[in-house]
Amino acid sequence: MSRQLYIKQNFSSALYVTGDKAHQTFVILTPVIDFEKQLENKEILLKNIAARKLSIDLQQIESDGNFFRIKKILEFTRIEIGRLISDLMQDAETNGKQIEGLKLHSKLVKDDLKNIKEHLYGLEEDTMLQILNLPNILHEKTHSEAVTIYDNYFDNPKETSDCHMVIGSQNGYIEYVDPLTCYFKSDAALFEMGILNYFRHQRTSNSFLIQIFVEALLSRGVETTINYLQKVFTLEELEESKAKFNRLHLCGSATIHSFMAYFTQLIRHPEKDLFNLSQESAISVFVSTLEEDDYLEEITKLVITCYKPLGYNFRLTLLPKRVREV
Amino acid sequence: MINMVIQNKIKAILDASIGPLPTDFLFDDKYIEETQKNISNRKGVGDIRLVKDLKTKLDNTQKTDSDYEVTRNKFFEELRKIPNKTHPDVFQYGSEPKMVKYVGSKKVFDFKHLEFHEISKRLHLVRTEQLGNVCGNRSYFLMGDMAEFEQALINYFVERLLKNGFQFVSVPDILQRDVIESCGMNTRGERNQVYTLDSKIHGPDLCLSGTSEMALAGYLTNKLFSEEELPLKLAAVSRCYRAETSTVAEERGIFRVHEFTKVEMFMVSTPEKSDAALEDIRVLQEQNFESLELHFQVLDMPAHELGAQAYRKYDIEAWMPGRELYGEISSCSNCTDYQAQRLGIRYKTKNGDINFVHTLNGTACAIPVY
Repeated sequence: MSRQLYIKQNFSSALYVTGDKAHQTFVILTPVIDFEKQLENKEILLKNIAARKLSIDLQQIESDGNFFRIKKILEFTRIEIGRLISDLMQDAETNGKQIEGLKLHSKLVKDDLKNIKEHLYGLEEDTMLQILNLPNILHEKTHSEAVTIYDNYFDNPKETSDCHMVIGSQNGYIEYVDPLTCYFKSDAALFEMGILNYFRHQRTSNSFLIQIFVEALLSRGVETTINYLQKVFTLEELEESKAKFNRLHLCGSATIHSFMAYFTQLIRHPEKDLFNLSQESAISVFVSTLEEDDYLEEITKLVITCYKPLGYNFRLTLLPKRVREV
Repeated sequence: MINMVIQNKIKAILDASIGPLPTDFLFDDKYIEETQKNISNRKGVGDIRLVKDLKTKLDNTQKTDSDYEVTRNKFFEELRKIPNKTHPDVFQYGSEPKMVKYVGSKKVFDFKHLEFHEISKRLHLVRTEQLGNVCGNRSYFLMGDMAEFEQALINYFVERLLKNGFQFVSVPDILQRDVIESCGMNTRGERNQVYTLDSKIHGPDLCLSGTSEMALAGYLTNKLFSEEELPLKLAAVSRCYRAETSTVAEERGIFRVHEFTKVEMFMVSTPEKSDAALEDIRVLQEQNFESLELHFQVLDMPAHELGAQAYRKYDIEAWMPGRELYGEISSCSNCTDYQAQRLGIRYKTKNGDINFVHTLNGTACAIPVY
């Protein structure tokens, strides 16, 4: 049974909260948005968007972003006039006429700001979310349009075998109802536990047991809104916590969402096999570092060290740009 | 409103020609008083006289009548509220649990000891602070040795259960609402303990499992066993989700949290052997906890602590030196045929009769309460 995902809802962001909604929610972090810096390498950004085959209109975002300059100029003017008035007030008698003129100017600027502010909130939220949805810079090794085989271990098995679902059912190992409801029985259940224990013993860094629940702001911080609702389960709101923007999600403990929760998957397909369940047991590695290359190599070595003793054919691949997560 | 799936399931069971139903006694006048007394001794939910009136009305209503469906739905809704029967011994206890035994003795310290949450914080083993805004309230992270300790406990208990003839099953965490309700747990209303997935995004009636007892009961739905296959002993490790919150000072730290890992036992037995099966589970629990050198007390719980489903329930409370109190670490229940009737779990006797099985469950190990 495959379930339809309804993602037509127009969610407000939990990550970027505009001033008009500030009284409705509590924000614990503000994302760093430096659009101007991103635009310094506009050509690279455009190539990146095209390579990932994303439908992002950078021109439109830039145009919307420019609109904010008006607001910034007005705010700057208001502050500067305030400062000027303050200076002139030291000799109010002499500067009386000039102060009057500046006060009038300040009032006009404040009126303008007030008039545009309400209209700008919607545009601001929309634009900032689009900027947050811009893809990350690609790793220099990610060039090809095709999957690059990084390394290959052991020979491909010569013999062919039945699908794992057939073998599983014949041996009484699997009771599959739908992607949400699947039971592993007897030795299959023990195998699942055993293989997890095996990888736990192979790990070299500190182990970690993590929260499965994360809130919306993290999910949005980690992923773009496009992917967000399709990969996590969203819980019904409890009466006690009816926060409009920050919903509770079930993401699984060995996911980047959970790791992120410490420092601040669920896909459904129609195929009836174990690659497409709504729940899986996983062991993940999370590293926070400034030297990405060294650690990518380290993690690659760790993965090889873990899989090699099992003696089965496997390969490591570099995914092409279009497949990589944003 | 009663879930349609459950209604249809109960109706299918009631309509099936499998001989007298255990619920039939409910409508017998001579048991009305006993049933009402049972209800008032438990949590007072359910009205047997109303159920009987609705049954009479339903029996006298033609299926073609316009209000037949309404009456039928109301009848099943009220019938579902009637709790399981209570073990006759438990009826004698009044409102207090009966002390069954103490095992071990309180550990004596020759120094002033700290509480668990203080020790784990100093050793950087558990983090509970500054997580409410990113993971919801009562969240926690187990780190380093504590995360490994959790895995060690799981492996230890699973190994002991396997040695005792339990079959291991890997279960899903997301369940249909009707499976959870059929196990005797309410999933609606303000005070319920069950998390529900957003129906607008994921479709209707999907809930997070509160215990693998529910997933295992769902696994057995509509199964027919031969008498020789019983008792069936199943075990599972799962993440459990509970919407309950506690602001009680005694339950600070990682006690009564929203999610935790649990090793669960589930048994299917013939009606004649379920009392003995409950004792077997209890003895196994005692042996397991004794092997960890814990000091604990075993309590036979009074009627009002049994929930809707249990016929008899034992709680095991361990001495927690940091808090200087006995805290619940485990329990086991005999649900007789309450869950089996709702989920259609039956067995064929040696002489060919088909009856409902009895189901039992017990916690082998719930991690965060240690």
